[in-house]
Amino acid sequence: MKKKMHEASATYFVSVGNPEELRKNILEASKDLLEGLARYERFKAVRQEKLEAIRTLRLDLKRTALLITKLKSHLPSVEVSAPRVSVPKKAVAKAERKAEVKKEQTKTPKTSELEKLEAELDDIEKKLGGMR
Amino acid sequence: MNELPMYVKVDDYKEVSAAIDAIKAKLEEAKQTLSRLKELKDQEDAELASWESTIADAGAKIDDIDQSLQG
Repeated sequence: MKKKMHEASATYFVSVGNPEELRKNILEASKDLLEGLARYERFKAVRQEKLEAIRTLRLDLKRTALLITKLKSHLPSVEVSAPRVSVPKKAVAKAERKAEVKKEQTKTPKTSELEKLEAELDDIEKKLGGMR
Repeated sequence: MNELPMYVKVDDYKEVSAAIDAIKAKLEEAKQTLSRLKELKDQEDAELASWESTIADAGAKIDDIDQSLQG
């Protein structure tokens, strides 16, 4: 019984060719991974700053849009004539592409903000179309 | 396009002028923010690239360790 127990807990050893090199590799691998973790922290900080810059840019654009609305309110309103009947082929192709994109987009739910902006863009494009 | 001349009241003109100045200032701010955003994107890309090389280095060292233990 005692012999069996001894056999079960027998310890085996594997020879290591170059122990110094092995230790060096372990330390260097560990150093690389710690550097990777430090890099993650730096990356997180950069990404945070980037998100902040995106928010600022969005605010800047929103404020600019508001200022343009204010500018429009000070100018006399001008009737825009209806678009001409003869539409260039390029414009027709563009409109068809847009219609296709819209069709695809209706399949997936969109954010209300995006819908609002697209509606405003459509409105402006219609007005511009009437001016050409 | 409507070719008729358009007139703006003097009071309104001042407001219009002020609004245009404010728009220009806001656009300048947006330009600067966008430029900073580009810098941050480049920084992020550089961090990702060096991260990739760090992971590759660590992988190579682990392979070496594995080889030393097997050989």
